[in-house]
Order: sequence, then structure tokens, then C-alpha cells
Amino acid sequence: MSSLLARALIAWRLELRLLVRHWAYPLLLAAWSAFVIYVFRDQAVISPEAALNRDLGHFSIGISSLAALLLGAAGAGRSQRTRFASLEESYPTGAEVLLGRWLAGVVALLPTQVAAVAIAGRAGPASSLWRGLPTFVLEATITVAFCTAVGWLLVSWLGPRRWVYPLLAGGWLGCLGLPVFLGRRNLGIPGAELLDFMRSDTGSYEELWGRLFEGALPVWFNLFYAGLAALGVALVVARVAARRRRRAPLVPAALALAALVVAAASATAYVQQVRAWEARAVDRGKPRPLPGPGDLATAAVETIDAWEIAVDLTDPASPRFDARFTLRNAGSEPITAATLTLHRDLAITMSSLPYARDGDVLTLTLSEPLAPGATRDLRLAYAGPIWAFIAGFDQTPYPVTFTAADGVRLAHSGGWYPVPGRMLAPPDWSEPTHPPAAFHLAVTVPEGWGVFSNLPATGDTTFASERATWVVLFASPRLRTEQVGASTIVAPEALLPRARALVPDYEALLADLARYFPGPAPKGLTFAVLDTLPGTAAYTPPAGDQPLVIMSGTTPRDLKKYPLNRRYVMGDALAADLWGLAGGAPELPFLFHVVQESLWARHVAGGDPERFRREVTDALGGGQADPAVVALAKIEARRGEDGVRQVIARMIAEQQTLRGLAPAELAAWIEEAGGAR
Amino acid sequence: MEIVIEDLRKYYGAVRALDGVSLHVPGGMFGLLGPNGAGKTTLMRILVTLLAPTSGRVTVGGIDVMREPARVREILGYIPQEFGFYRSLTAYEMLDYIGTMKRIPPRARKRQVEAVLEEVNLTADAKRRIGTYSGGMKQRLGIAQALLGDPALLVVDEPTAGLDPEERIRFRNLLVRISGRRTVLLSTHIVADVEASCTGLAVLRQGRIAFAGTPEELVERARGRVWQLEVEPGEWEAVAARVQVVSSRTVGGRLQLRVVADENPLGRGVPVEPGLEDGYLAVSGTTLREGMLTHV
Ligand SMILES: Nc1ncnc2c1ncn2[C@@H]1O[C@H](COP(=O)(O)OP(=O)(O)O)[C@@H](O)[C@H]1O
Ligand SMILES: [Mg+2]
Repeated sequence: MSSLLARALIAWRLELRLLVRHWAYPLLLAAWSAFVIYVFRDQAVISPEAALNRDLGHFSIGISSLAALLLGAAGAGRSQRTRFASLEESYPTGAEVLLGRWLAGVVALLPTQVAAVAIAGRAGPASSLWRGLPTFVLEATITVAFCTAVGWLLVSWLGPRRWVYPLLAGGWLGCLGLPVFLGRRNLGIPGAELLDFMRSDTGSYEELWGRLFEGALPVWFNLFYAGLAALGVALVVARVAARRRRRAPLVPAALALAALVVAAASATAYVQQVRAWEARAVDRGKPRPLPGPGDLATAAVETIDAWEIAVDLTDPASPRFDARFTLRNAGSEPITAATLTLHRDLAITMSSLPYARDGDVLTLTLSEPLAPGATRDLRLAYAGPIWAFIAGFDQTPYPVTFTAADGVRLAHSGGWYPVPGRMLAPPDWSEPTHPPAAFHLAVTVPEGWGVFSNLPATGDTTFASERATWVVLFASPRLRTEQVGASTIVAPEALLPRARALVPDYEALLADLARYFPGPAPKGLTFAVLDTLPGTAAYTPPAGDQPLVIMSGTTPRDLKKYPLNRRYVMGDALAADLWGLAGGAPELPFLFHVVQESLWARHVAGGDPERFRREVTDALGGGQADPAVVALAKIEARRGEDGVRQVIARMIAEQQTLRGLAPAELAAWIEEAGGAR
Repeated sequence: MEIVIEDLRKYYGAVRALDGVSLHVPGGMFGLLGPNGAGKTTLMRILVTLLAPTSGRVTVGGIDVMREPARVREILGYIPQEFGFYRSLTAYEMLDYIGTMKRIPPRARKRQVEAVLEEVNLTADAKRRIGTYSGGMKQRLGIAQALLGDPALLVVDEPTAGLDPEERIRFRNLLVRISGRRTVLLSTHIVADVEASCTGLAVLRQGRIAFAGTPEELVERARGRVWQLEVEPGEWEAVAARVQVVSSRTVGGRLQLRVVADENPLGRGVPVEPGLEDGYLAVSGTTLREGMLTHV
């Protein structure tokens, strides 16, 4: 046994040496690394782990698969090319030499991944790199092992022929199109992207949730290719063994069979998961009647004045909720039943009133009629996993609300707490969910988890607001909260440094913009860098007295280079919150738009009138400026920031009467209000 | 180490490379003589387990080559007709690797590698890359690798084919020196290769054994059938058609021939003492053209 191992090791060592010392090897490494560096020279990378798990890592693995095919073929054919084969085959050796040499090919190719790791390493904290590295190395190894095995298999079948190389390279080039042809968008075969051995399907890593959205797919994918790699090697071994031992190669054949079973079982499991996932998405993605803007406040006679909800995430995959809430009859007639909305997946374990459910609609039967204006305290306990999907880019189901062992994301429209009326909103609903009400939220999470809610925090895992119109709850082992002066930042660990670095910019801009709004200027902000945004209310209106900004982790790193992103995640986000904090209604976007447009142009122009003119005309395009925006600018020119503040204050005070004004009429109103006429 | 071959056949489609070969090699240095295409390489590749026969049986030291090829490889040293090494390695590295493959324990390996290098006189060049070696040096390295592990059986396939005359003689001497207690099976189409050294030999012709015995017995096959005679250039065609011409040279405008024939050719031949080559020609029926080509 030990001498068997020794032979495998020596064969491995010699093969590695022959490969690495070949003149083409450094060239290959240099070319591959240069290609990776060239392609990713200035692409934004979220974090080292994200980079390794997404585009950069998969690109690097993808192109090294070509090198693996060629190197595998070269290694397999060497003995015959050099005519060493007839000597070699007369030696008393077995499969161990083959295995050693194949493994050497795999090891020799791993350095092609160094460039990717280096680029990733520069993108963020080392802890993130260390977290991403093992998976990346494992996946690179599996792909390379598979491709090397394919190269070996081909050469051991066809012999060491020169045309094998162009054949392999051509086949590889052909496979570049695989994801396009096989993607769910095109052929519609579930799980077809399993054939994408280059991993060019970038997967769906998110900084906050890791690869949670892929579920067990990566495991099945990797097992599938590990199985195929083993199958390839076992076939080569079986072939050689049959010839050399003059016996049916029972052991290698059994191994090949086992590898085949692993690959087939993994493929089946993969397809099953894709199917299950899609079925869930189809079920949840059914179109529902949408409430119109502003309907929510008047839609139902039932109103809830206050919530007090305890969420137990000790088992994050199946949370338990204990909700106490105050129901009020906002109608003019007494009611005997209350219609609420609660996600259908949540199983009610306790209710202070008898209830009936129809999908997401929950009807509570009141024991005695509730007079108009009267209130009643109710309690509801419920539990269970809830998931809600939207169709993501390329139609893959994308969960917006989910409860999983690795993270919990409860979107504001997810129906995770009882909402008055039939609030049948789609999962990516972006309006507030209910009229302003008190909301107290207490969360229990597993050790080391962080929690985020749009409500102001009153402790590590408690939140409270007296005028909440929407509530989200995110919990993840990666989530961190940090106090920076008067501001609070919430972000996955790897993105904290980026968030921290942006706080001074935000605070400066906040001070600049706050001068134009009535009331005291807010001190600091709550700034969260989370994953992608569906499932939060547009412009994330604050429920406390600080602006709340949620930025996507995929936002470009250097905002100065991307003025549009900068305006969106900084200017618009802050202006919207200042507008809301001053009492501006979110359902009157055209009013807010004038303010936002004018203030941002002013901010960017920094006192340069020509620049200002260009900003406001560019914003609409076609060389046209919004007359209302121009009017507001005129007020500032004449009466300074006090004048503008007064106009905005009046605008908010009279907002309901301004509904429906045309831009020219609004401009006239502004000039009148600002005393410019 | 005794080799027993029984009714061995190897067909490549319609080509009968071996057509019922039975042979007993008692040991010592044994020559397998035959023209190109006679089936020597085929026979040897079967013997060293690289090739499966169509039918028949071969045992080496009692081990069935077909049933237990792995055991045969353990006692084998093989120098194929054509072979090569990894050109970027030095002879030492290459032999060290082969030593591992031949299951020589690490402690004995270094010593053995040095010993075989010394044996084939490559010690001085052991640290040079094999890519820089001449044909003769590579051939000697081939012997060195075969000697590793001290095999009881050495199988050598046409070792002198690519060598110049001087290298060829040195090579023969080397073979004789290393044969020692081993069984050496040497195939060649050059009579001189086996003449000096072999204790036994067989002649293979079109896949069949035409002769098996000692060199002396092969010489006896030609006794009384070897003649010397002089002919006019114009008579050549007629003579060559009827008898086997061993050699010919021009003397004063006439041709002096050495021929193998049952009867005195043209009635003017002078009987001469037979040699091994005459015996080979007598049993193999090779024509002049080949005979001349093979005459060194
Ligand atoms: N792989 C093969 N396929 C077909 N014919 C072959 C093959 N190898 C050898 N032969 C034929 O078998 C015969 C014997 O060949 P070989 O054993 O190489 O003879 P020798 O070594 O005596 O020159 C020749 O006619 C040769 O053409
Ligand atoms: Mg031959």
C-alpha cells in the first residue's frame, strides 16, 4: 500500500514537474492571468467573497477550463508522443500512476486562479476573502478536474493526435454559447444550466445572504461535476486496466458506475430543486388586484392604531410571531368582523378571536360589534416559513420575502404582520403598506446575528416608531450595525468600511439640503447598505426623525464617476426623506420632484448659474427645463434660501390643494408664494 | 528462466503475424532471427504483456503471460524496437523515476541507478538532459532502464537497428556482459548480432518457426550446400533464379558468388565450409537482395 502511494506520489511529482517546467506553462499562466486582469481591471467588485463567488471568480474558472482541457490532453498523450509508452507499460504499475498524473494536471492549473484571488483580495477586508476562498478553490478544482479528465479521456480514446487540440478548443468555444442556449429564458428546460461546466451562469450571490438564493443548487452542481470527473478518470483507468491486466476491470468499472450514480443523482436533485423553486414562484407570482396610490389610507374601515410584535427567529427557517395590535373602526357604521391581511403560509397558533382565512385574507369575528371610532386590543400568534418571489432578471425566481436558516428577509408587503384591509400587494410593492401607526418590534435572533428594520432602533434588536407606514425586518449572521457620530450604519460586515467612508459625504449633503426645509435639521442619518432593493418602500420614508437611506450593495464604489447613481442614492434619497420629515406626502411625487430637481441642480452647480441652467435642462432632456424648477431657482436668486424654505413650507402646508396643477400653473403658484410676482 | 510458447497465433485481420509458433527457450542468451515482417516484434510484445495474442499460450518461468501479466512485468526487463524518454529529464532523473515504477525500495534505488549507469558507461553523462543524447547513448540508456530491478528476463527487440557499426559492436559486447545468469531473448535480422553470443536461436519466417536449435545445428543445415563459383555478368539472372546467393563480388570483370544450393550449381561450384549466415539463408529462404542488405 505504501509503495502504491509512493508510486502515485512520484508519478504526480514528475508529471507536475514536466508540466510546470515546460516552456509553455509560464506563458499559459501569464496569458490567463493577464486576460483576467484585463477584463476586470476596473469593474466594480462588491466584496472579495462576492467577487470570487460571482463574475470574477466564475470568469476565471471558466477560462481556465480551456487550459484544463488542453493540458489534460497534453498530459495524457505525453508517453505516447515521446515513445516512452512501450517502456512504461512493461513496468509493474497500475492505475496509481494514471491517477497521480491526472492530479498533477489539476494542481498545475490551480495557479491560473491566482490573479482572480489577487483582484478579489483588493476589494475589501481579508475576512471576506477568507470566507470566500475555500468555496472558490473547491469549485475551481472541481471544474479543472472535470475538464482535465475530459482531455484525458479523449486522448486515451483517440490517441495522441494533433487535431485533438483544435477539437477541444473548438468544442470549448462552442460551449461558450451554452448558457445562452440552455438558460431558462431560452429552451425553458429546467436545470439545463447544469450543463454550463464553465460556470458562466454567474449565480446569485448577495453580500447579505451569500448564496442563499441558490439553495442547494451549488452543492448539486459541484457534486454533478465531481461525479463526472471521477467517471472520466474511472473510464480511463478501466480502459488501461482492461488492456494491461487482461481481465474485466471490475474495480474501476464499479467506481465508474458509482461516479455515474453520483452525477445522475446530483443532476436529478438539481432539476428537482429548480422545479420546486419555479413552482413556488409561479404560485406566488400570480397577478393580484393592485391598490392604487393613496387607496391604502381609505381602503378599509378597519384601522390598526398600534402594533406590538415579538419575532422569534431562534429557528430562522420557521420564525414565530406574537402580535398584539389595537384595532379601530374608522368607518361610520359598527362592524362585526374585521378584515385583515396575513400571509397564507403563516399558521395561526393562537388568536384572541375566532377567525376564518381565505388565502391571504384573514377575517376576525368580533364577539360584539365595534362602534365607529371604538378600539379593541387583539392578539394573534402565528408561525412558519414564508416565501414570496418575483421574477428576477432572466425570469429566475427571486425571493423578496423569505425565512431561511442563513437569513431572514421580511419585506414590507410580505404580509408578515396583520395589515388592515385586503392589502393584496405584489411582493415588490413599493408604496407604504398602511396608514401611520405606532409600531413596536422586538426580535430574538441566533447568537451573532444582526438585525435591520426601517424603524428607529431602541436597542440591539428592538425597534419602535409612532408613525410607521411600512416595516421590514432583515436578519442575517453577516449583518452589522455601527454608530458613526450621530449616524448609524447597517451593512454586511464586508461592506461596513464602504458605508463608513460614505457617512461624511451624506452628512455634508444633508446639512446642505436641510436648510431649505422647514423645521429643525436632522442630526445624522441611518444609512444601510443592503442587498438589492425590491421589497422596500420607494425612497424608504423614515419612521423616526432621521433620514433613512438604503443603498444597494451593487452600487458603484466610486460615485463621483457615476453622477446618476450619486444623485439617486444621495441627493434624491435625502431630499425625499427631508420632504417626508417636513410633512410632505409621498403620494404627491410631482411636488416633491420639483423640490428635489431644483435642490440637486443647485447642489451640483455650487453657485455657477450656467452650470445650474445646464443641470435643470438636462434633467428633462430636449433642452427644456421644468418651469416650476426654474421658478424655485428664481426665488432663491431673489430671496435666498429663506425664500425657498418658505415656499417649500407653504407647498407642504397646502399640498392637497396643489394636486393636479400643471407645471406652468405650479410655476405661477411658486412665484406667487415666493413673492416674486 | 524458461520460456515456453505453445501454438501462438496473432492475426491482424487477414495478416497472420504469428501463425502457430511453438518454441522452448531454455535460458541463457537466445537469438530470434528473421527478416523484417517475420513477426519478431509481435512475438516479443506478446511475451512482455503489451499485446494479447489471438490464441496460444506463453509461460515465462512457469507464469502464464496471459493470466498473470502483472507478475511477468515484475521479473521483466524490456528494450523495445522503438522507444523514447522524457527529453527534458536527465538520465539520472529518468532512471530514478523508472526505479520507483519498478518497485525498487528507495534505499536501494540510488545505488542501483548508479550501478546501471556505470554498467552502460553513462555515469559521466548522467546529469545531462536526455534530449541532448546521441542515438547510441539513448540505446544504452534503454539497456540501463531494462537492467533496473535486476530482472530475470531481458527481452531485447532489434537493439542494433539504428546504430553505426562501431556502436553496434560495442552494444553486442555489452549485451554479452550483462547477460550473466539472466535469460536474454534477443531479436534481430542481422546474423552477426547473434553469431558471437547466443547459446540458442530460432529462425522466424512469415510467422512460423523455420528453425530452432543451437548455432552449430543451424550451420549444419547448410553443410554440403554452400558453393563458391565464378560467373559471367550475363549468367547472373539464371543463377539467382535457381539458387540462393549469399554474397557476390566482382573479380576482374567476372562475378564471384557464394551460393546455397542442394546441387552443385552449373556444375562448376567449389564446395566451401558453411557459416551461420549460410545456415540462416538455408532455412529462411531469403533472397540475395535482403542477404546483401543485411551483410555487414
Ligand atoms: N498493428 C498491426 N496491424 C496490422 N498489421 C501489423 C501490426 N503490427 C504488425 N503487423 C504486421 O505483422 C507482421 C509482423 O510484424 P512484426 O512483428 O513487426 O515483424 P518484425 O518485428 O519481425 O519485423 C508484419 O506483416 C506487419 O506488417
Ligand atoms: Mg520488429
